[in-house]
Amino acid sequence: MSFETDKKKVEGLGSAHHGAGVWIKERVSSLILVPLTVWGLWGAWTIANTGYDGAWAFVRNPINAALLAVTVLVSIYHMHLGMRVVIEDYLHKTLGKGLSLFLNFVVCAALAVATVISILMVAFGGFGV
Amino acid sequence: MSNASAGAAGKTRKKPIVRPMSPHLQVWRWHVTMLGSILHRASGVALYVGAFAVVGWLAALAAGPAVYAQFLQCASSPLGLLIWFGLSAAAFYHLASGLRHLLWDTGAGLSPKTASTLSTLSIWFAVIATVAFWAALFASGKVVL
Repeated sequence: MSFETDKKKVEGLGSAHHGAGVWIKERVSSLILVPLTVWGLWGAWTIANTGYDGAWAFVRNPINAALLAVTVLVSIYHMHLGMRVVIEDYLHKTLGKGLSLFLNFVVCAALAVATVISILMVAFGGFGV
Repeated sequence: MSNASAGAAGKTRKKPIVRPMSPHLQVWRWHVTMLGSILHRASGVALYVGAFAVVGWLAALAAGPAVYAQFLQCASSPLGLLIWFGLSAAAFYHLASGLRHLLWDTGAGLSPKTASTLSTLSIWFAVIATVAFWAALFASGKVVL
């Protein structure tokens, strides 16, 4: 009879078959972002030099508001995953790595909340022409 | 000696598992897929910073005309335009380079020659698309310095 723990038996033998999760999330979000990035650049072109009224009218349009929300939110999700990889690649000490990963999450969550509130305020708010 | 080996035998579980490691950066000859990889990461980090500008734009729009006027003043200043220019360049590169990666993920285009061509193409795409985008913005009078 062996006194080896289960962990010891599997250590170094490879994936526990859920290691591809983050990889798939990166690919799915990047596939969604391919057309949306082009749309976003087109949007930037459209509102350039149109001032407050032009930008307001653009975001006030329900289709634009929806596409903008998806574009920015999926971008934030994708960049959270990407920055996570960068942190894990370069920071190896528990505290610095942990703090950076935490900060990455907080920053992305804050950006996402600001995005949702801003789009809702423009889409349903009282400002404008 | 016998003591030492007995001690070592007792501690074998704590010995770190030796896994193969990738060679460090300095031993590689410079090549274009390497440049493409570095640029992909750099443009990704640049877009992370750029996200603050985009969300800042949205927040300024939500805050009303007075705040938005202030935002536009910063955004249309030479430094502001330089930031938007860099952001668009990063977006064009990360887009092209990302497509290259998605193609590679299917298992296609991985021979050294094709991989290098794809990397060169994504860099040229980013340069040409960024210059064309801004040339059109200036030519149409949408952006003035």
